[in-house]
Amino acid sequence: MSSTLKRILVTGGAGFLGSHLCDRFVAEGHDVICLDNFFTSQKSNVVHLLGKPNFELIRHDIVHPILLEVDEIYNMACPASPPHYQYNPVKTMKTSVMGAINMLGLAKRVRAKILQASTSEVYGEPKIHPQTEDYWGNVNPIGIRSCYDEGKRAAETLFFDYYRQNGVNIRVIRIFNTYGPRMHPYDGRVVSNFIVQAITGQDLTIYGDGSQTRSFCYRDDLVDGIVAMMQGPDDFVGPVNLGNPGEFTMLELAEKVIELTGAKVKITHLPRPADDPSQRRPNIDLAKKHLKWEPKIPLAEGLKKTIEYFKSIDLSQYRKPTSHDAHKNTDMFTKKA
Amino acid sequence: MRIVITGVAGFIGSHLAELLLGQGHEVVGYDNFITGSKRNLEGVPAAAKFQLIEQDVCEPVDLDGAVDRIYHLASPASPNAYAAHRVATMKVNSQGTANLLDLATAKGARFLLASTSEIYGEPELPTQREDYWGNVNPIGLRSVYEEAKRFAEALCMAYHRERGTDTRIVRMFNTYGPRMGLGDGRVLSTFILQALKGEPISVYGDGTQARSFCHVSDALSGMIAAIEGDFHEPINLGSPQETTMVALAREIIAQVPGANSKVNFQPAPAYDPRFRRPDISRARQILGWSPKISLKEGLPSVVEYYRQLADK
Repeated sequence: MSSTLKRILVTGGAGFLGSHLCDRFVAEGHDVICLDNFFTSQKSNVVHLLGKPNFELIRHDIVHPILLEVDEIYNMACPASPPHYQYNPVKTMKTSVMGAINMLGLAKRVRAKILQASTSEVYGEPKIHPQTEDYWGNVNPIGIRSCYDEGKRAAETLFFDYYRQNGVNIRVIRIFNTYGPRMHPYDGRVVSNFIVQAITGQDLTIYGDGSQTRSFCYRDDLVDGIVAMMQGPDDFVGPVNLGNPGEFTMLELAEKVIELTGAKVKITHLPRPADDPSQRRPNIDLAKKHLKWEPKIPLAEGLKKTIEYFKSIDLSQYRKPTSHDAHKNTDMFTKKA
Repeated sequence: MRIVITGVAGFIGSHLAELLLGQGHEVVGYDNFITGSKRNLEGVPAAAKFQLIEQDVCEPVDLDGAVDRIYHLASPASPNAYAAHRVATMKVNSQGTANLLDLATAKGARFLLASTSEIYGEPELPTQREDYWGNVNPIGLRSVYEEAKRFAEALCMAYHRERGTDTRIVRMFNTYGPRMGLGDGRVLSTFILQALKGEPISVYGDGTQARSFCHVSDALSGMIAAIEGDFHEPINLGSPQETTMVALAREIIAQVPGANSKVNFQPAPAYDPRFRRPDISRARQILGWSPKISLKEGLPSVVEYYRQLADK
């Protein structure tokens, strides 16, 4: 047996990105532990791995500590789309911070290398464009998105405290908009929204005039970047932006989806939600320099694969996010009658 | 009323406990004494109305009986303290705040978070209003306190929006008074100690850099006004009245009898002089609050406190 085989923990391992990491590591022969509480992710994302001798699925919420012997931790767990985290802001915040504390504690104890999946949301409503990693961001601490933004910022702070004070071997990546197969069809993200609307014959909804821009990174490119960062030099801990600098307006994206699906639908406009960033685009010079990484897959190609995926799944099996109440019963107190 | 104060053995917490007990309320105080001090509670009578629970509020806060108000003050708060307790600072503001918010939700109590002007980071504007989002480095050496408090504010709003918890947030600016920590490295306590010892008072640079100081009794009345009001977004509590470092040094020398200290100008450190001056129009308009005690009136109580400490 090769000594390069590792025991790898992926939290949020049944999620959109986590499940692709599991796929890759299982295929490479590593021992993979997938941890997920299925709060927003789907068992269907990892069902094909069940039964493999080097894959293990544990239903666990990282808000609570867990003891495992592992070499590497990919901390991907967190509700990540606005409809999910805004329905459950308290849960989202606990996952970010208590989850980070628990996973960092584990990494410290078993001397594992640990990667934090942070986000471009730490930049908030940026005043500079594109964003470099040394930009401090412009985040409303009490806005409706702050549960996610501030949770992720606090988690980054913790990673750097454990790195400086305890010598934990960390990596921090800031993930920009990513799309691809296994996105949740109702995660409220613009790519999944548009594709689901187009293939079900509904008009595409744009919030505002559609001039706000986003960059879109295909999931294979992103997974390459995540792995490159984890395997990169120990003195390059990040934070590093991972995303595709190619920029498109919402209007351009909508037109492309209509073209690629061949759907006979129109575009309608709705008011923009509060705190919706008007532009977000990564500067990826650091990743290029230190990781020799950059995205390769053009939007049209990635969109085609994503459209095929959405056509292949049974949309009736997926639910729109609803206000989950189950977690409230697990809180220490119940509300007074 | 039955009132919970976390961080009750801290500088502000202990004053708040005395004030509320004096008004006839019942106080349940929590402290784990990592930065709080039992000495701060000497003035609190061991009355039937005061209960001290020695506990880290990161552990579940399981309290029987009704609770009407919760003042959440627990957190290392001076740069020296939070540098020494980084993870504990993040924990008490995240897990600790969540535990107290759970308690507030369960008991139907009003909850007040003592936040800080530090959430503004290195502001681009000389005077900060509450709707300013701040300029904070998420991964810097001082980030832990700033981000922990921003997280705590966001958590309050999340509980308020999701669970209807009756929350309040105050952002405390520089507060001074008896019992402020000796080893805090804050300018006011450093100057007084130097004056008491008869040492020269070290002023960095030309001493024209200004700071504002709010007396603890003003801060307390602001906190009480906030929790008794019904405004849920953050409110700045601090003094907009600025004093230069030279003026502060001279005032302290004048107030320490027999002090023959001189002002000793030192080269300016590479340290960033941060603007920190509250815009308190929100507190004025919504709470009818503004600080009443001038620095001249407030200083003697601190000088006296440090003198007594030195005598012990």
